Amino acid sequence: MSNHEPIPWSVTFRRERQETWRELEDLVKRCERDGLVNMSADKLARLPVLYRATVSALGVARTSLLDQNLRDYLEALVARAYLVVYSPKRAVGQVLREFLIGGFAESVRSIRWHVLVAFLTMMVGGAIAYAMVQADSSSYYMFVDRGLAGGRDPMATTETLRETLFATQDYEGLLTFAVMLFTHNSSVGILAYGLGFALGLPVLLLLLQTGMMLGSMTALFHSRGLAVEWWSWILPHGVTELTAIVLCGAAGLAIGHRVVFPGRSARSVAMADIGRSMGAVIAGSVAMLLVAGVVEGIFRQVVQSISIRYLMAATFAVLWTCYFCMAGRKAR
Amino acid sequence: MLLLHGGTQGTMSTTAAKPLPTPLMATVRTPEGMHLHFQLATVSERYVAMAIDLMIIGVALGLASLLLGFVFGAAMPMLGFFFLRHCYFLWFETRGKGTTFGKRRLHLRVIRADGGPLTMEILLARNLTRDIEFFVPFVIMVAPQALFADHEGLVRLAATLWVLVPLAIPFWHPKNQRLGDLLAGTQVIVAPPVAMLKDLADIQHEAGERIADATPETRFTFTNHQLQIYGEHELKVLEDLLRKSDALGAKKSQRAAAKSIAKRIALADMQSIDLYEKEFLQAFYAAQRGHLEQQLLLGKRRMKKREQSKDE
Repeated sequence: MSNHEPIPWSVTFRRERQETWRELEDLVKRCERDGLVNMSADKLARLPVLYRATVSALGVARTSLLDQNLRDYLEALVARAYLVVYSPKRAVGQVLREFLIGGFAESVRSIRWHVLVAFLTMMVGGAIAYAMVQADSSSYYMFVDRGLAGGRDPMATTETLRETLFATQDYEGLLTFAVMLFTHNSSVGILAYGLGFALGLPVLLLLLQTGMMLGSMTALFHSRGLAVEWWSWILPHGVTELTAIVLCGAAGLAIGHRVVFPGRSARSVAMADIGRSMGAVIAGSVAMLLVAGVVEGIFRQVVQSISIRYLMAATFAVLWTCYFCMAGRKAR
Repeated sequence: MLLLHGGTQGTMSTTAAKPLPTPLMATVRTPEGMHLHFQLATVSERYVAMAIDLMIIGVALGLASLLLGFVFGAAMPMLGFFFLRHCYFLWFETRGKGTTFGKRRLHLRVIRADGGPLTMEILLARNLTRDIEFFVPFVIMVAPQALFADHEGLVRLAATLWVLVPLAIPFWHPKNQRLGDLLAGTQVIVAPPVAMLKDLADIQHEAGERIADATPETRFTFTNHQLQIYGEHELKVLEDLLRKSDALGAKKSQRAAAKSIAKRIALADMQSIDLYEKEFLQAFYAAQRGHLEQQLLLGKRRMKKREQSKDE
C-alpha cells in the first residue's frame, strides 16, 4: 500500500528528448518548403541523426508510452521525416537526359512484339479501308472524319486534291491546324494508355480506325493518279507521327496484356510495373508527335519539292530505326 | 504463460501497442524496420483537392490566353490546355514531393504503395490517366454532343457507360485507388500535422510542487490498489477530457468525471474534490499513467477497467 511514484517515467523520457523532436520538426518543415537542395550542409548532416533518434523514440512510444498526444505527434513527425529523408535526389534535367539517351528506346524494345501487333493492326485497318474505298468511293465517309479531312473527299476535283497537297495557307491557319493535330493525336495516344486497362481492346479499335483513315485517303489519292504526291505529303511527318501512334497503341496493348496475364507477381505489382515503364513510352511518343507537328506545320508548308520531302521522310525513318535499335544498349 | 501474465484476466496481454491496419490505412515498412501507418485519403477529399487544382489551372489558362492569344491566335488556348492539364500535376507533384496546391490544402500526399521513393516516372504514370478518368467522363456528362456528334441512341449509351467505368474505380476500390494509382503503384494519404501539446503528467508535477506548500488538500496521492481499477481506454478518455478543458461544458463533465472516479476508487477525502476537481483529475491522470506505464514495462497491459463484481 505504498504511495505511488509521483512522476511517470515517460515524463522524464519526453523531457530528455523533446528538443531533438522539435529540431527535426523544424528541419522537416524547411525541407518540405525549400527542398533538400537548398539546405545548408550542416543542417543536412543533422537530418539523418535526428530522424534515427526520433524513429527509436517512436518505437518506445508505441510499446510503452500512454500519452496519446505524444504518440500521435511522433507518428506524424516520423511519417513526414521519412518522406523527406527517403525522397529521390535526382534533378529533373538528369532524369530527362537519361530518358532521352536510352530509357525511352529501352522501354520500347521491351514491348517489341506489342509494337509489331499494333503496327499490323493499323496495316489491316488500312488495307480494309483501301479495298472498300476502291470498290465504292462513298464508303470514304465511314472512315474519315470531316473535320480532319479538310476538303479531301471524293466530291473534290483532282485539281483541288492536288492543291491540298501543296497549298501554302496563311501562317496562322497553318499553326492552328498543326497544333490541333498535335493535341488531338497526343490526347488519343494518352487515352490509349488508360484504355489499355480495359484489356487493350479499345486500343485495337483506335489503331484500326487510324489505319482506316490512312487507307481510305490513300485509296482516294491513288484513284486520281496522285500517289507520288500523296506519299510525299504524308510521309515527312507521317513516319514520326504514325510510329508514335503505333507506340502508344503498343503501350496500351502491353498494359492490357499484363492486366490479364500478370505472371508470377501479384496483379497490383504487375500493373504498377508495366504502368511505370509504359508511361515512359507514352511520354516519348508525345515528344515524337511534337516533332511531327513541327515538321507538318512548318517544313511541309515551306518545302514544295517532292524529292526533298522524300529525303526528309527517309532521314526520319533511318534516324528512328537507329534510335530504337541502338540507344541505351550496353557496350559489349 | 500463467507466470508471465501474472494470473491476469483476458483483458491483459503482452502484445505491443500498435494501431491495427484497417482497410483505410496504408502500411509502409521503412529501411529501419519500422512500420509506418498512413491514413488513406477519402475519395471526396481527393475530389476537393483536384477541384482546387483545376481552378488554378483554369485561372492560369484564362490569363495566358488573354495575354498571349493576340500573338498566337486560337492555337494558344488549345496548346495551353493540353500542356497545363497534363503537366501541372506532374510538375507540382515532382517539385512538391507528391503534393500540389490543392493536396497541400487538404494535407494530402502521394506515396508509393511499397513505401519507396517517388520518381518522376511514377508520377508520370499516375497522371497520364487523368483524361480517361476525369476529362472524358466530364465532357460526356456536361456536353455529350462534343464527343458523339455523329452517334445516337444505343451507341451513345454504351460509350457513356463504358467511359464511366474508370471514373467509378476509386469508389469501389478498397483502398480508394484510382486507375492512375493502380498503374503507378501509388496511394494518396492524408497526414495532417500534429502539434506536440503539454505533457499533462508534467504539469501536475510542477503545479503539485508549487501548490503543495500552500494547500495540502490539493496534493492527492493514490494507493496501488486504487490505480489497479482503470485501464488504457479510460486513461485516453481522461486525457481527452483534460485537453479539452477550454471547451464549452468541459467544466461540468470534468466535475462529473471527478465525482465518479472518486467514488469508484473509494477516495478517502471526498470533500476536497468539490473544490479542486481539475487538480484531482490531473493528479489522478498522472498517477494512473505512471502506474499503467510501469506495468507495461513489466509486460502487463490493461486495456479496459476492471468489472465492479471482481473488484470486491
